[in-house]
Formats: sequence, C-alpha cells, structure tokens
Amino acid sequence: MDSVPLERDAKDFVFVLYSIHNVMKAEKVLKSRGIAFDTIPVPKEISSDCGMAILAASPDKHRVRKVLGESGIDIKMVYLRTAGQYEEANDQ
Amino acid sequence: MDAGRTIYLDHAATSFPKPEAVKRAVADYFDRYSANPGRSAHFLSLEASRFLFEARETIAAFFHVDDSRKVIFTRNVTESLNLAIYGMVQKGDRVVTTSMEHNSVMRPLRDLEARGIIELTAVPSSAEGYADIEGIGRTMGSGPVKLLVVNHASNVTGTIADIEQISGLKGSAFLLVDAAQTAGCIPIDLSALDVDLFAFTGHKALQGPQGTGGLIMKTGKEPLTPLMRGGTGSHSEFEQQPDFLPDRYESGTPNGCGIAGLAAGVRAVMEGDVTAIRKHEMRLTGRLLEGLGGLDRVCVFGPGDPEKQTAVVSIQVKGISPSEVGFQLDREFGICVRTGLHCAPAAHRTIHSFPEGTVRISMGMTNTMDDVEAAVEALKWILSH
Repeated sequence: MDSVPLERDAKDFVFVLYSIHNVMKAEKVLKSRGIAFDTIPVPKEISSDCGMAILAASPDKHRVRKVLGESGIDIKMVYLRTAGQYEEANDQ
Repeated sequence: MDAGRTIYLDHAATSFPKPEAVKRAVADYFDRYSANPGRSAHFLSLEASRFLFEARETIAAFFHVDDSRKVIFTRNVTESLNLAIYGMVQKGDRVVTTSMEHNSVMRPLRDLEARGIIELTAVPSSAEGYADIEGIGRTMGSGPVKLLVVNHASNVTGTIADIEQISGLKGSAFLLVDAAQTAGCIPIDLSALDVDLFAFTGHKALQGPQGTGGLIMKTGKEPLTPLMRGGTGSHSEFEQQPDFLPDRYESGTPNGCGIAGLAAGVRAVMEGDVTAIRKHEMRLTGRLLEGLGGLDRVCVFGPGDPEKQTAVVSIQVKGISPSEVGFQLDREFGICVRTGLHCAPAAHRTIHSFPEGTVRISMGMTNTMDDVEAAVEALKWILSH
C-alpha cells in the first residue's frame, strides 16, 4: 500500500522518535491507517541527531500521536514547524 | 554407485541447497536496497532501513515475538550465544548448563569459569542426550543462579529437550536456549514459552545464508552488556552507545544481503509450513533408523525415535573409524555427512563416543526417502567391503 502524500501546511508537526526502527514501524502503521505523512531527516534546528523523523500535517497531530501510542512507539519530542521555525509542542 | 549424484545429509551443519527465493533475495538486495540502512537520509538508505525492518518483523512473526525490536541480528548463533553469556554474567555469578552443549556454549562458559568469573555446573545428561531434569532442578535449588543455558536439540544426537519443563526449573535465573538445531524445523512459539533469551542461526533449517543469525530477548529488558559498540546511525551526537533496542546490540553496518536471504528463507519455511517440514523430517528419520537397525556392526546413538529427535542420527560402525566411513560415503557414493566430534566434545563424552566421535547423518526439508535409502544401501556396501 502506498502512503498518502502529505500536503504541506503552513503549520505541521515533526515527531522525533527513538530509533530508525521505530520510524520504520511508524511509517507502516500510519500507512495502514491512511494518515498522510512524510519521512524527513531530523531537522538540524531540532537536534544534531542524524536520524529520521515523521512529519505530519497539523490537523492529524492527535491522530498520529494516538496511532503511535497504540503501536507502542514512544515519541521522543514533538515540534511545531511554522515557516521554517521550530518550537517544542510536546503538550499540544 | 551413482557417481553423478550428490546426496547432501549434512543439514545440521548448514542447509543445502537453499531455496531459489533465498538466492534471488540476496541478488535482489544488491539491485534494490544496497545502501546503508539507518545511516543516510536519501531514499535508497531509507529503502534499506524499511527492508531491514520488514526482515525483523518477519522473524518476529515466525517465532511469535510481540515486538520485533527484541530480535537482534548477529552473524551466527555462536555470536548470539556469546552476546547472551558474556553480556549477562558478572563476577561471582553461578551458571548452570548441561553436558550436551556445543562448544559455542561450552567454550564461553569454560573461559568465564577458568578466569574465576563464574561458578559453572554442567549437569550430566543421559547417554541418549536427555537433560537430567531432576539434576537441573537440584542444582538450581542449591543457591542463586544467574543463567541457565540449554540446547533445544543436540547437534550430535538430535535429542529434543523439553523447554517448557526446563523453564519451570529456572526460578529467578535467566534461561538462554540454543535453538541452532531447531529453529526452522520444529514449531517454536516464544509467546508460550518462558524463555528469556533465544539464540538462533540463519543458515541451517531457516534456509538463510551463512553469516546470519540472531538473539531474541523475551522482554527486551534483560540486563545484557553489548559485545560490540560503535556506529548505529542513531544518537550520533553522543559518544556513548544507545540504550534502546535493537541499536544497543547492533553496531556497524549490518549484513544486509545476508539478512535479505534470511528473511526469504524464513518466508520459504513459513510457506512450507514448519509443522509439515517437521513431519517430513520425522518420516525420513524413522526410515533411516529402521534401515540402520537392520545393519550389523552399526551402533546408533541418541533416542532412536523420530518423535524425540530432530532429523539428526549419529552412528558408529564397528571396526571402521567414523572418518573412514565418512570418506567412503563421500568418495564412493557422493553422500555428504559430518564425522568426528561436531564441536561438542562434552556431548560425545556424555553419549560415550569420545574421542573417536560419530558419523552424523542429518536431513533437511529438501531430502527425499530415496536419499535415506541410498545412505542405508551405501552403509551396507561399506560393511561388506
């Protein structure tokens, strides 16, 4: 099954996970639920980690968080991206 | 004698021939995925990461493991066992094992014992290779034990251990099972077994390439120190090893093409149905035992019962050394078997075949009844010449 293409919003969310394994698992479960996402390098503004992160559109944030939680995928950090600026959004 | 035919009866050493799907998967890996998984952000590296993830998921599903992070890839079962043993024990720990273990268990344990790090008890098994359940129970009950190490089936006699029964004896100890001889040819459901650490190889009954294997951690929280540390593609801003699975135990570029072959091998076994494979191998073993039973001067070791052993049968021929029997089977009949001590001197002492060893005839899913008949006929010929 192909993943649903992500339409870039002015605001979207970056989910930083703990390992590439979890990013791959996240891809699989998001794809199976039909949630649009993209897999991107962890932005350097957020972390010097050279891993990958999941990018999701603003309206899907809670769904993504829920699906990842149900799949046992721990979320390290969530960031809100607005016009190239990142701010922590773990509690939103 | 059919000079043009090869009859491969050395599956306990490594399976041959491999399924076509395994060969294709290895070749395909080079064409499609051969970037470095988990290292770079380009699409080929991501494809390799996805591929590695799916291979891990396949193996987790095969052994009924709930979370594929608990599957750690290694280069063989020896590395898996070394990771489990050296990673687990600390100075002063007691370790219990059986006298039927392969040197991949015995040598690490004897090394730790010789260096005064552990106190080791190898509980003597029976001459048929059965673990002494009462003896293990008594030893486990005589004081705190950190680690209990047992094989699921002997590589010398094929004797199958009752892991469920043994797991009932472990108490607070961690149970490490060496499944080198059973993964892929006996159904194994780790969700139903109280096993803490499960070591398997890829190149035997799982039909994968050599250089593949793994260690499965039941909870993922077992206190194991990594054997190796290094680059994992994760937490690269830190000079310390990450503490999460599987990265904690998988440093350096993985054996991508090998793992591709292993995943294809596991899928081939799943498609063939491991229960059906087991039944097929039991029929072959039954026929071999029957044929051997009719031969004078042939002594069969082990249970002598296909229900109680893998498709591994060890024999001695009175008056002819195991190596000479093996040589004649090879040269006169094109029959490949393994002779000698099979890297398991303790097991051979246990079954009273040390130091000369045995001729080990071991069958796999690709063998036929004709192969077994040919081996019996060849042994008859050797006995009469």
